[in-house]
Amino acid sequence: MTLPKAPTEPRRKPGYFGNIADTVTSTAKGMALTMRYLFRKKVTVHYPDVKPELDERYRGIHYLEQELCINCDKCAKACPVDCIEMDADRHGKELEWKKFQLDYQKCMFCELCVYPCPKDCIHMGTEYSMVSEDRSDFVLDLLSYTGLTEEQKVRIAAAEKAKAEKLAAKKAKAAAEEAEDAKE
Amino acid sequence: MSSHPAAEFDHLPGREVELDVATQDCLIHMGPQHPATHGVMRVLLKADGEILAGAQTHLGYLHRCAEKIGENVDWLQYLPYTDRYDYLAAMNNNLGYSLAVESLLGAEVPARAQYLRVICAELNRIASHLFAVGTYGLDLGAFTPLFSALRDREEVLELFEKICGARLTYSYIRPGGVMNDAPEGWLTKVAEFLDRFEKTWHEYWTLMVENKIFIERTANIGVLTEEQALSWGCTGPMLRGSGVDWDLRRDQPYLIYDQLEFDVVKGIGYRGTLGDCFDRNFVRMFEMTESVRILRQCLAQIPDGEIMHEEVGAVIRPAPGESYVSIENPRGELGHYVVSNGTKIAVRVRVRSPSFCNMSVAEHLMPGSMLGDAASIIGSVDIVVGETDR
Amino acid sequence: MTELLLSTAVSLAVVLAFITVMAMFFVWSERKVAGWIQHRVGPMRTGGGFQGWAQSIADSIKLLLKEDLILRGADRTLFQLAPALVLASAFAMFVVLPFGPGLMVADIDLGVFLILAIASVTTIGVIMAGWGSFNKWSVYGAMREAAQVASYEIPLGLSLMPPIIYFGTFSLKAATEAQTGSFGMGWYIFSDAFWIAIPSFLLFFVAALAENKRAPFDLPEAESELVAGFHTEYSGIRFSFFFLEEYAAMFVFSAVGAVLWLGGWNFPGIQSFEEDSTALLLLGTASFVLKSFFLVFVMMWVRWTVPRLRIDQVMTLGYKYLIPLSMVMALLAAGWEYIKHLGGQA
Repeated sequence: MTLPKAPTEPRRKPGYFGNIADTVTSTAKGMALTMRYLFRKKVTVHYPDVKPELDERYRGIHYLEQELCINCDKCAKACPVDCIEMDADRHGKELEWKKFQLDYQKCMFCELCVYPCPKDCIHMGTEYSMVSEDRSDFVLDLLSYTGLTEEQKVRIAAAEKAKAEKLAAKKAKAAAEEAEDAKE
Repeated sequence: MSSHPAAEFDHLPGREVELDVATQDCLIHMGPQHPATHGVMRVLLKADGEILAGAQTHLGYLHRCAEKIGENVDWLQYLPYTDRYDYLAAMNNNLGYSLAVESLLGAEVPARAQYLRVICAELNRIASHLFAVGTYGLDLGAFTPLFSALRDREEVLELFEKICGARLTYSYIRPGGVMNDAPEGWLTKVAEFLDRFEKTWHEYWTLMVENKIFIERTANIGVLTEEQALSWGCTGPMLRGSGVDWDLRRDQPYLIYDQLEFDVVKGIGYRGTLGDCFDRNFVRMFEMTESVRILRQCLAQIPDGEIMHEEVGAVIRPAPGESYVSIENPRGELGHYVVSNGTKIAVRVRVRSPSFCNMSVAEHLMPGSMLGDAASIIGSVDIVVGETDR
Repeated sequence: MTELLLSTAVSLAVVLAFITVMAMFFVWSERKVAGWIQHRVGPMRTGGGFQGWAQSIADSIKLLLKEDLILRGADRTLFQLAPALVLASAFAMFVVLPFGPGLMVADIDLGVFLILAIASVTTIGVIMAGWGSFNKWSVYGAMREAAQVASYEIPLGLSLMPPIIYFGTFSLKAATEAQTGSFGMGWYIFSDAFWIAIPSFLLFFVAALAENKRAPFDLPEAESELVAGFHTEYSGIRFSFFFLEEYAAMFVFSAVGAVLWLGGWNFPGIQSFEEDSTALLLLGTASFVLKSFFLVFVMMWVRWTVPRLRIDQVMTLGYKYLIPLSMVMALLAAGWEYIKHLGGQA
């Protein structure tokens, strides 16, 4: 069916019997349509049982690829509501993360924080439901947030491990040097 | 504000009642919590039985200082706030703001981005008008059209979700272009939606526009004359419903609207008087068909290419100056007046919102009609309170 | 005497249980029908299995347990009395319905009249509720109810005239028995006067919708205008009384329509059953209940299709369209009987 053009002439106003005929026919037409609706396939889904399929572009709760992040604060600066807070100690090239917090009571899921990232390490995931009786639960630390895919988790775990090893090696080296210094 | 609400009607001429008994008009507060006010708005009605003697709208329940926020955040950071004044037509709000900022920057948006903007704006117009038509049915007591409308609107929202990841507050159209390119197959999905919508459009026609009870409830109700519409600054379907041939898409073309072929729908008093509630709804119904026409042309013509202007980045520093850009929002003329002093924060952001101007005349349409018509008139104005109050 | 009391008590208990269960079923089916018409599935969870069948049970438990609120400025007597009056009148209407062969509480000669008379008592309850609620919207609802029901009594009564003239009785039982002919298909709409029966049935149905304040005539509770009209301030069990009354009254008017136009308990092949047999009783009752339920379904179907009229349009429809047309129908029915009478004499 194609769409009609807007009519340009008003309809004639019906008289007494025209009114009756109009009412009966238009109600009958409407009822025929609703009767067809009655047997048509339903469009709703049973939400908690059937989850909607979300596109990968969906702007849900963020996730962070921590090993890539350089603590540059660009996402926090881009945020219109200042809901991102990050803090890390720098050990040479390595970062020791203290926090990367997102306050979801403020966040409006505008995705403006994702674009300025120079390392492309902050993303918005497909997780969308946040329910709690405690407001502090809405302040998520993305360092411990587990809304990551298995693959990402493995990658991050490996990176963390490598980083920890490097740090441990550094510390050991420093300790050894100190010990040597003490000897001397 | 005076102490007694009745004093608000002092400016209206007194009504003469030829009775021995002392009578008094009944003052009713319709809202702030009322099913027919489309949000948090209050209408103080002065009623003589079922007949309304006066009406006074009270706004401001949803004021969120949107304009003031604009003076405190970056140019780009204000974009998500534009989503939130007319939450049913956020794409159009984004577009209006982006065009205003671009006019300060003097940036020309790439062709593909322009087409994507028009596609999104027109899809949003369909979604918004669907919701307007559906809730209008709800105001008049017909539930089913609303659910049919939501069913079709849902498809549009899914399209938006696929292109920008959000369903209501898109922030998709931004100064310099658009946020993302359309994903693969998205344009085909739009075409498929249009095919389906061309079928379901007739259902609204049957359930609402053609229904005798609907006609009785809307025709000759709340007649807004052409003169009144112009002097109150009404725009959009409200203005065109009164027979004024004015559409910013055609008369002040922005983006690529001057290359597209479409008609401007205006009211003709199809079932009653020119400018009645029926005509406003009628205009919305046929604007949807015109949007489908525009979308079909856009889908056929859309070129490949860049989607973002090269020089417009995350931090925008327009040259000092001011600019006013207005676009045709589903509800009327949405104007953005922005002033820059060359820094990365605006000096002034002012929004001319269509719902506010359209709503201001509603209280003058109500006197003389009946209590049930109050819902009919407010519904036909199709306000979004988030936009009147900002 | 004891026996009479006992049988009255038992039949009352049966009617009470029937109305409650039926109203709960209607509430559930209304929600399902509304859902299906609106591309939804309606209640699905309560009861754990089939289509949320226990939804109404859960609802009624919730309503029973809810706090019973009365506004400080409300007229407590009227406010508390109104739901009881409304519910009592709804129950009283069931007394004269012929559910099946030999299954009715009381066979009164003026059964149709009784139903019409008691139906207006409901109005008094609604007006009491609206006035006693201390709420302007409620008063509006009550006034609309008064105007609407008072006007629609006339077309309702007039539209019942054609079958009454045809059967020559006001008794619902006698009317049912008069339709047993032609192998149980001698229903009024299939009779020689079908051309009067069909329009008069439509007129009756519209008038019954209005009398029953069902959409599109639900002006007294018009939720987009009057919030919830006369029962805005009611909560808990009192609110559920109004709910129960609405569905009970729907059933009663559907049953009157089913008896006078659709043959009541008659079904094809009723003659082959022995009189007073259990099979006849069961099948007859099933036939009656199914026909009534179908008409109730049509009422729901109309509700979810059309918008609501405005109060003056309700009046216009009643006085300018229904009353003249139903009067014409009554005259035609009388004329048709006279012609038949003349034909019989000749």
